[in-house]
Amino acid sequence: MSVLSVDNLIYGYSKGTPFETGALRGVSLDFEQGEIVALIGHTGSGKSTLLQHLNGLLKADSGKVLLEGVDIHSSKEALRKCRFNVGLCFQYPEQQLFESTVYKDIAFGPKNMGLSEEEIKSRVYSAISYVGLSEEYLQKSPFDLSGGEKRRVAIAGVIAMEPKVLILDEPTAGLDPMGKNALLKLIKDYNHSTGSTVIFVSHNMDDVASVADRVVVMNKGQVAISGTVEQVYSKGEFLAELGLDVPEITNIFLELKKNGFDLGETAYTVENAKNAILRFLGKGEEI
Amino acid sequence: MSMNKIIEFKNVDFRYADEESDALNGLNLEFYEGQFTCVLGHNGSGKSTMAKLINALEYPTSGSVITYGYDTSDEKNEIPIRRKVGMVFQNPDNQIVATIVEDDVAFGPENLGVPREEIRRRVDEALRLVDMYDYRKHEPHRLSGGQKQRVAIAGVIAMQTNCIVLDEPTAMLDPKGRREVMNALLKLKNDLGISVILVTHFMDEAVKADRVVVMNDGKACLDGSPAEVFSHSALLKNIGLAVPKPMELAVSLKENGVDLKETPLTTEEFIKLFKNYIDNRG
Repeated sequence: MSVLSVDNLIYGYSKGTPFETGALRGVSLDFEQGEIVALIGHTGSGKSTLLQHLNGLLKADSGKVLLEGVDIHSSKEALRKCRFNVGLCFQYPEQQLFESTVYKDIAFGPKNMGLSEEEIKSRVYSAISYVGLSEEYLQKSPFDLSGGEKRRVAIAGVIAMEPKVLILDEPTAGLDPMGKNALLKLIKDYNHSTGSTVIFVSHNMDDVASVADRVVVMNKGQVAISGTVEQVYSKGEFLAELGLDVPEITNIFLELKKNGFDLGETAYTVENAKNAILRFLGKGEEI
Repeated sequence: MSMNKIIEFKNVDFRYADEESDALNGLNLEFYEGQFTCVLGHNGSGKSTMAKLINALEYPTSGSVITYGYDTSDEKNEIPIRRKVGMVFQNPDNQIVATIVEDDVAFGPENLGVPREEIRRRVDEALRLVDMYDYRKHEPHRLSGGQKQRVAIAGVIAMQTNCIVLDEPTAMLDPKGRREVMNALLKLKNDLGISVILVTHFMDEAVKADRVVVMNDGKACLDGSPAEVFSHSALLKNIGLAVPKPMELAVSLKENGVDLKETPLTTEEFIKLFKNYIDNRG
């Protein structure tokens, strides 16, 4: 059984007005235990709307969200369970820090779950280590931290609830390359060590290629394609039609093909592009 | 070709109140008329601080910044400087003031006391240049991020500034929005000869510039054409910056005995060099 699934979700904003937008038009998806799924699509494709359905912040006009097989809107208890088990971290989450210390901010979620003081403490300590910050940070004010640090604290606040599914809306937006790589590594490590499912939205196809097991492409409120990174990125021309960028390396391969160099496969990292080109040139044995 | 110097940082130190270290540390840097300059650097390298010192949003702790001949430390120069240099910031939602697009673009020239007909003309021209003329009667909050940033850019053009400084204007945008903003900026430089100073994290934007400046520890550590600057790939990686992917691929091929001779910065250059390699390997 999938840990989280959505079945034929339909939802519209500003219904019946000329501004009707961002709607979902029949989305069905299954998320499996332990996988990292990247959700991509241009602005207005319905990605963020979908995320807000996954933990019950929005309720679809029709269709269901199932957490471990139970409709999250079937009872108050089911919805409460969903809020704690599907942790949603919004875009620019650092704007939502509000407590006087980092400790209190991370403890906010677990506290609301009604956990004991000791349990809360142990969760705060493990969450701060997951996001790669030392325990010294716990007594600092979140407002004295750098942007990248604040973002990690905000993510720690969601992780501390130990959700079965962690959802991140554009977690790397606005970070420099170093901060971005550190955050992507954090996502991967967290997924490895806890076995939790991670769903993240990104505009950066290189980021997606480096961490995702599976890619779901949204377009006009529907799932346009879903598959492994290789399967999706090999459809470079189709992605471009949807207004998405393919990774620069994939683009080089598409252009080589147009120029008569058919390397027989697609590549999305420098490493696999190098290997494919060396093979093409008959130097494959050397690697 | 000798170019007119428009902005000069002379030995500039800068420290924010209640910070323990300098954000800028003996910065010497010049900007020239009509040039499109990209400034790269990781978070904390001082690049945003540098941008704020250009038009007197902050003043040097020591040293001086001369913008179009005006010393930014002298308070009475503030207005002439702001008429020469306009700024656009990262968050598109923080810099729109009016409820209709064309009113927002008119806000700057209105404050300068420009006559009504002239404002009309400037607003239309600015909106056409950034390709937002069709949206002139729209409400800004319904626009996409890329559209909002282009409205902000139009607002600066309508003031007829000579130079525009942008601090990571595309950081919050999707790829389509990023392309739209970049195209608008290239047009400002090419059609109007406006000097553009773009602070960014994106290498694909930097390769389109005339000149790239890399900042680290409050200083300029590399300065030159994109090809020159990106040839220092080890140094760039060391200070936490990436190099363009086509170049990274070429370097990795070279390490494995496939030498494309030159260093490609873009996909087109890579394809061209690869073709040459195949043709000559006979």
